[in-house]
Amino acid sequence: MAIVETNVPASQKRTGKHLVFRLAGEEYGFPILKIQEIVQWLELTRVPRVPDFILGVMNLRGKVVPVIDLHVRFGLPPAPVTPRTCVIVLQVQRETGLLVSGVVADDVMEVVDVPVEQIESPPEFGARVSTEFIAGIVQIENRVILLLNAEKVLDSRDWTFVEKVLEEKDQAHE
Amino acid sequence: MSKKIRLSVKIAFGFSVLIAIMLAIGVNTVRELRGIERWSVDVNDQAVPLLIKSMNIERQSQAAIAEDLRYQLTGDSRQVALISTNMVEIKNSIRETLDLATQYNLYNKQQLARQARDAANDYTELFHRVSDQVEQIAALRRQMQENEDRFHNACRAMYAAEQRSSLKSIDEMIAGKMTTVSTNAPTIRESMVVDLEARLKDGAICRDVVDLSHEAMIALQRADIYRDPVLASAALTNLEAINTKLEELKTTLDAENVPAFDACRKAARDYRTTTENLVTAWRNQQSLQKKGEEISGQMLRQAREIAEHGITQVRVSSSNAVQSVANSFLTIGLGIALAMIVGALFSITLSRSITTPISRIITELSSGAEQVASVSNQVASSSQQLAQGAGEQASNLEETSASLEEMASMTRQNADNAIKTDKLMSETKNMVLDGVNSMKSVSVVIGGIRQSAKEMAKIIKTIDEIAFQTNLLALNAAVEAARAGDAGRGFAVVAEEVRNLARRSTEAARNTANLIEDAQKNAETGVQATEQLAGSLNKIQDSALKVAALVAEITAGSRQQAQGIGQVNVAVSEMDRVVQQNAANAEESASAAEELSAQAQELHTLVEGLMELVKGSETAATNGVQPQQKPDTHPAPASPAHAPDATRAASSPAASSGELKHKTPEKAIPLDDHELKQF
Repeated sequence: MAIVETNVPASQKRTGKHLVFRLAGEEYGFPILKIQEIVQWLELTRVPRVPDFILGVMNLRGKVVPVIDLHVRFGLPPAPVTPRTCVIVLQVQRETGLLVSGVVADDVMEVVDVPVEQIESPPEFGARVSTEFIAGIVQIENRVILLLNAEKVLDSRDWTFVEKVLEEKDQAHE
Repeated sequence: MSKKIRLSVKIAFGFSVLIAIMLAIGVNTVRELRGIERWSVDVNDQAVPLLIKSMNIERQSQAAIAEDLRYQLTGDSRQVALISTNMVEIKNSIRETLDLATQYNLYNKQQLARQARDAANDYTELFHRVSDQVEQIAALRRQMQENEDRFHNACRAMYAAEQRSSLKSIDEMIAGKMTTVSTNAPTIRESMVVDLEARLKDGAICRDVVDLSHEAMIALQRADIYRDPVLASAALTNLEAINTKLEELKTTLDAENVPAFDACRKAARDYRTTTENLVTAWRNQQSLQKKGEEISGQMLRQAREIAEHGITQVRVSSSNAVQSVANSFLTIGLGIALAMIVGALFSITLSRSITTPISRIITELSSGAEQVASVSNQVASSSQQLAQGAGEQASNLEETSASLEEMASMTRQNADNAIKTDKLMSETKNMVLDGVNSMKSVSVVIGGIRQSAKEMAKIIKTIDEIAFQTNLLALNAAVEAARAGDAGRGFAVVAEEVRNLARRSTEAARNTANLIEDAQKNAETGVQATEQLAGSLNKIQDSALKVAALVAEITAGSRQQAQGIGQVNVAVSEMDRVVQQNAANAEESASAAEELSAQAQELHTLVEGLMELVKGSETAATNGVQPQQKPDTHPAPASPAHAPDATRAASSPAASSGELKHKTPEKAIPLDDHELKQF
């Protein structure tokens, strides 16, 4: 099992365990090392003047974490909240520091071990999700799992503005 | 336009025009005839009677005048009566004429008649005078005759005396020479000669007197003959001459002859007087006669005038009548000519307007007759089939009757069964009540089951949540183990196991939930089924009641049915009779159809006759030929249409009955032998 190597290039880190989750009927995967934890659905606090893919913020043991709706982010049809809806909390290393953010999943499936040689490059077109978020695609026992790039998923031009807002909120919270 | 008007209107119009013309002629003729009648009546009632009367007057007047003249000539007193009667007749005629003229207000004729009447009166009066005069003349004439005779006798006597004295003187002279005159012989001789001479002279005078009297008598006779008093005046001069002669004789008269002379002179004087009277009377008579002629001429003129008036009237009336007749001739001639022209035009249009549709109708009738013939053949065959069908129907009806018997027995059985059913239905009702009660308890039980299932579902949900959270924990543990790297490998295995357990418990919970959900659904279904069952049972209960009622009705119905079947049996026997009659009727209709066919043939003949009547024999003949010519021009459509019908008619059973034997093949098939062979 590979340990987290932050200095390794992203293209070479397409190995190891991935957390498979369900989103709008399809199965996606995040590298397990980008995941901080998985929590059950909580009530969110809506935040004004933020992009529409940010559902709001949640209080994760005293820390304010923004929650992204990947349905909106990927341009998929919205899904209702069920008892199995979860929030996957990701942590990504950025130039400004460690970014912690939640991502809504319809259901959390399992942790799979993906061999590197089985990972295929994302298709140029045809996928429902924009290829910039997809790190690769893997096929396991007739299941097709799209492996997502957590940095790209969280990266955005608006993100600095979001961080500023969040900082303001954090300071207000403190 | 003329086609749009109805035939009757056309005829009525034409005849009314003719009638109007005739009426105009008639009215005009009647008017003219009325005028003729009026003129004729005038002529008959006025003019002709007036004419006749006036003619009568004229004729009678002329007769009267003639009689008058005759009377004046003859002096026959019998004529007087005749003339009187004539005058009376004339007066009567004049009076009648006057009456007629007064009756018809003919003033000028009245005047004329009055004048005629006056003239007649005058004439009568005059006639009386004339008759008096005539009588007087007759008396005078008798007297004159008498005087004449006397005068003649006197003359003759005087002459005889003269003769005698002369002869005596002569004898004396001869015998005695001087016996008487002896003394103076020469003187005596001389005196004797002188005496003799005187005597001779006297004798000559006497002779002259006699001659004159004869001449006077002759003159009187001549005047009598010529009816001229002027001639009678010659007699008067003779008488004057006699007088002078007598005076002369008187001087030389012998004494012995004086008495004779006196007698003679007296007779001559008387004769002369009477003659003068006669002449005077005669002249009077003549003047009267002239006057009478004048009056009678006036009378005649008036009578003629009346007659001429009558004639003029007749002429005017007859010329008017002739004019009227000519007028009516002209109007009748013109009217008849106009009527002939109108009638000719009208008859041409009418005949055209009648013959055109009639000829069209004739052709249609002809084709119709042919169709009737073929149709009647079909009817005949249909009637045969109908008869056959009627026979079959009769046998079927017998079967029906038998079936009806069976039905009657079955109906009785039905009634029995219905009673049994009624009993069974009351039992069923009780059973249904039991079932309803059982269903209620089942409902309660099922309700309990449903409640339990709900509680179990809650428990299972809790288990599921626990399993989900356990799964989350296991995944978090796996994340942590991955973070820990090799150190967390064992932990990862444990987390994997935990996650497996969580998944199995989730699956078990899901299965259990599914089962409970099934049980719950089953319970729901059970409740619904129970409710439906309860409703069904209630309905069954209702139905059982209704069935009981229906069964009662069925019982009654079965009874009625039995009666109905009896009636149906009667009806079937009636139907049997009717069917038999139908069969007979079908036979009759077959024969009637054959007769119809014959009559259609006859109709065809009649139509041909009508065609001859309407179009004349030539066109009828050409029309009759046409259907035979058709097969030449169109052999294919015409001959197959006609030939099978005709052969069927000839060979069908209907023909074998002998009714259609007069329908020869030549008539039925419009083809001759040559064409048939071609066909």
